[in-house]
Amino acid sequence: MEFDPAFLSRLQFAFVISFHIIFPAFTIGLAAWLATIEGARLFTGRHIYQRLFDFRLKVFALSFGMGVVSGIVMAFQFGTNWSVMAARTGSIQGPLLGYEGFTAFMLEATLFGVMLRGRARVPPWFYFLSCCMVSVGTMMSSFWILANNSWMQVPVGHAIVDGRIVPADWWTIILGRVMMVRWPRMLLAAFLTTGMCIIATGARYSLRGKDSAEARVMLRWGLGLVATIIPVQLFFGHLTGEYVLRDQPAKFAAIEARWTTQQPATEVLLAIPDESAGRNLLAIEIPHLGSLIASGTWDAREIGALWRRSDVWLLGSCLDRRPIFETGRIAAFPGSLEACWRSSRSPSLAHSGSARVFPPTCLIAFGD
Amino acid sequence: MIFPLVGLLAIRGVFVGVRQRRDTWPFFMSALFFISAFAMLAVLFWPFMIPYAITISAAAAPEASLSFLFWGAGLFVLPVICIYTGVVYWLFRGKLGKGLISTSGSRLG
Repeated sequence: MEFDPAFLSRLQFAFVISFHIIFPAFTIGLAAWLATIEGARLFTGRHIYQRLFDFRLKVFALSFGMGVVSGIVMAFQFGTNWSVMAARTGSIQGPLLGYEGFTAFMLEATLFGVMLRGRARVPPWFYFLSCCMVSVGTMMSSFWILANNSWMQVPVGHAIVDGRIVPADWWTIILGRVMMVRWPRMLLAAFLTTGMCIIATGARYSLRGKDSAEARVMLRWGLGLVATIIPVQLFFGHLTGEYVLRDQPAKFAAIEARWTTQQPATEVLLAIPDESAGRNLLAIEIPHLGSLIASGTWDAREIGALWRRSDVWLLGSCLDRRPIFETGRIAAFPGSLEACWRSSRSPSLAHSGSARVFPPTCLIAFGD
Repeated sequence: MIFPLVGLLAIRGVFVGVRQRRDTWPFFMSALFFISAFAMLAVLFWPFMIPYAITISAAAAPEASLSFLFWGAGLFVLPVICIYTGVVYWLFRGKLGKGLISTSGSRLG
């Protein structure tokens, strides 16, 4: 591994985006949660919703602020770390990110001020509207950034004029072939993340026996949302895999840790890849499942990562992802095991049932 | 020449506003100062975007990008932004009274 500018750029950008995504993934869902709770308070008038709202507002404010700060650094790194890409594709990325600033950032920032400090100054319907607009702003932000990223994954709707990339058809660029798969996936992922967090909070207060009424609301609403979203997310996850297989076969092969073309293809659950030898040193595999997952038939032929022998750099960059991918799956285990253990220690609690259900679903969400 | 003059007058306006206890003057004079500073910068840079190296027309994005941003964001979204920003500023107008400094009643506060 050489420390050349390309690698250092990637390292720095990877750190920033890893840190940044924690916050929007959380605040998109949390903004929607706060808007929902405020709506519940407005329409039922019960004080419990006021307490739930106030509990989360400061958390939301902090996460929102951290997301903005890390996002600004990230946006600058589009230009500093990826300057050639920015210069070449700026005519398309620029307007997309510009629309994100215009339609999303301004809206959320301005009305978030009302949310934080304006409860005494505005009528309740306006306060509720502000909460809704902040939530809409976060979702519009995800829309535009996913439009940008989807165009980067599968570029459509542009033309090459005099060696420059110029936009040809904006509708195609924004609502590209894979946009309507990737954007719902991101939105649902954000809702899932926040839903899990709310369930966890509710479960913890429930297990402690403190503030059990609020905890019950959190548990019930969170579980309802998550139970609805997970099947939908599994569906969109499948669609995502489909487009990666079709449009980015080398990446798909790297994700599957499949070096050589196989028929029928095995599904590798865990592997230690050996880049120089071009094979897996140790692998836990399930035969035929790879073909089933990728193409839906028992015996389909699946392309391996060594398919394009000349593209050695592409191979290396794809395989860097593998350890990260696996550790993400493994990391989910300890947390959910702990939650299982704690909930089983207090079986007399009325809500231990729901607290026990949470960890396995948490596993599914993390493995997603 | 006019913008530096306006900027200097704006700074003086801030001090006058404070001395004469005209409460809205510092805010508007500061805003005026920043506007005149940026206008001065634009005038000084003209016709360059990056001084003495790249002109504005050379730095500009292709027409398709510019028109996309202008017709959508520039013509429709920007007025909406101005409206709701103005509304929120107006909502938070006036002096802070004692009762308004409390937080929104959070349990953690």
